[in-house]
Amino acid sequence: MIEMFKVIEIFRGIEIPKNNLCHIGLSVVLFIILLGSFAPLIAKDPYETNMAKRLEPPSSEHFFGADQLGRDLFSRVIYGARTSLIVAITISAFSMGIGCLIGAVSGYFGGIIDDVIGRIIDVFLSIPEIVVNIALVGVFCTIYGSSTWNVILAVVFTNWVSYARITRGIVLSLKEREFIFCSKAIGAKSSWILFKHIIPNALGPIVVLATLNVGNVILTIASLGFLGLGIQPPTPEWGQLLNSGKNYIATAPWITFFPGLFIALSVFGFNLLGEGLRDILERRRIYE
Amino acid sequence: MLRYIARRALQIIPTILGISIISFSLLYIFPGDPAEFIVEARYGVEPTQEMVEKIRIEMGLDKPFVVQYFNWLSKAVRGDFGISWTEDKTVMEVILERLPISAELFFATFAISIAFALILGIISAVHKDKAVDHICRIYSLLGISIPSFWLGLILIWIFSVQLHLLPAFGCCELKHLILPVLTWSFSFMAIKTRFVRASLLEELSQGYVITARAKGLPEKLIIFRYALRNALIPIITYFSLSISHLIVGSIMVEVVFSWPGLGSLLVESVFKRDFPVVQALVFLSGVLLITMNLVVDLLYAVIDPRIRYGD
Repeated sequence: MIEMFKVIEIFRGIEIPKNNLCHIGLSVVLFIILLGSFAPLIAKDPYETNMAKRLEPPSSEHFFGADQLGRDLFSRVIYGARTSLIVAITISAFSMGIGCLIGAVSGYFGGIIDDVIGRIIDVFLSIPEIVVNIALVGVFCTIYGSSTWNVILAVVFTNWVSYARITRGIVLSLKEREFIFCSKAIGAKSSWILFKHIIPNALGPIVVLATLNVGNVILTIASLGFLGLGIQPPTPEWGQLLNSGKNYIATAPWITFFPGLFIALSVFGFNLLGEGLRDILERRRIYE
Repeated sequence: MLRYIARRALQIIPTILGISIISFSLLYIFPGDPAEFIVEARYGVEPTQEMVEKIRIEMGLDKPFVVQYFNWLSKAVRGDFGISWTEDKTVMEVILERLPISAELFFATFAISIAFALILGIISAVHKDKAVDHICRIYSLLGISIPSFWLGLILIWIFSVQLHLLPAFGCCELKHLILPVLTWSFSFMAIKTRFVRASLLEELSQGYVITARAKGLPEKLIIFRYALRNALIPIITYFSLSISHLIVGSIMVEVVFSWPGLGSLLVESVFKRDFPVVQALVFLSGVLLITMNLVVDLLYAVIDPRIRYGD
């Protein structure tokens, strides 16, 4: 993402400011992504149970120890990165698609459409997300049985709104700017205005939001998993690993320790990256 | 001023209606026959046809969606959310039972967080870009990144399992309160520290601060008498806004420490499928958030006369 920004910056003839937040954040995020992608090469079989090794402490053979069924915790945590990332990115992508579309329509057309959509956005902004997520997963589980899609649907239901709000705001403010007016005056088509002016200008804030959002969604998924409402075992997921670990906190604290560390690390990475990107954007605005 | 209050108060009505539709739909999409479920859950017997029929008519479940919705809404605005599906109490009784327990945890966290957020925020802003500031900024990022349920478990491991100092769960005495409050404050404070820092920095960059400095006023006076006073306006409003976390801000913390407040109630009710309780909690927390928003807006207008626009 930083590379993308660099390209944009160079294209515009502005030097990109050095930003350490960004670099640390990006390294952490890349680290987690690499772990997730190459899980089969790094880790062993996360499903293989071995009751002889039940609750074994960390050793050179099992870096993070073994869980209550004697499964290798290291492998489960690494595969957990995969689960969390795939689900979080899916949720963010759906939310982004839905949210940006609704926000753009609302901002671009204005009038009654904007009034109605604006109200809906207000409603969704004022519902407490995690409460609705928990309630919806509960309802979906009763209807469809437990599945990862429950989590995805429930989180997307509340998550799209931040994208809609930000896109609507950007489109509303861009619509009034002179350069859009001028393009219209020289006869530019709507599609030209949309792809050459509105999308490039909206991209920055949306990328920042998406980065921060992936971090938040990872946390939400882990929270749901911890409550026993998220992605169901045996698929390894960090929150759910913590949930099973909490019963063994006195005898096998490592089951609790390592998955939580990875949740914290990845959320921290995405937050750091998002903050850094935001700094860059803001400084660019000052240059302009 | 009165007109401003009235206008703002009227504006929240459509939003509350929207929230009520969402929370009502939660119950309406319940699969199968709620009446049958109620009989089973409450009396623990195989439902007979007449019992189901009786419950259905009693609760108005035989009416169409719109009628049911308006029945529910007209009762809900008066604080009547019907009867719990699994206990022989009204939903409101169930919620009111838990509310003080949640409130205890919340206000303890709230008080501690405000105090420390103010101190840290001011230190951070005054020493901008120094080491202290960087530490405070990293802390505030960590605060929003570290999952509270993990932090809670780690604290339990340190203070209960290893040191045997504090109980891991239980309720309502001071010693039970310490770990949950510590856990929750860690994240609660983080965002507020940032906010205090940003607000104070904003004020410190204003023209009147430069004038005061040019006059040679001592820096302490400038910060506490001038900048902080002005910065307190957004800070107070922001802090009061977080009262809306009262009902549900603590779900994860409550679950980790088995604190029997509203957060635990929500999760329990989801597992017991006691959807009227879930519905009421969703609705109430939404309404609380909107109301706090309104109160804060009005407070803003009272504190800062410049904001009474449109009067």
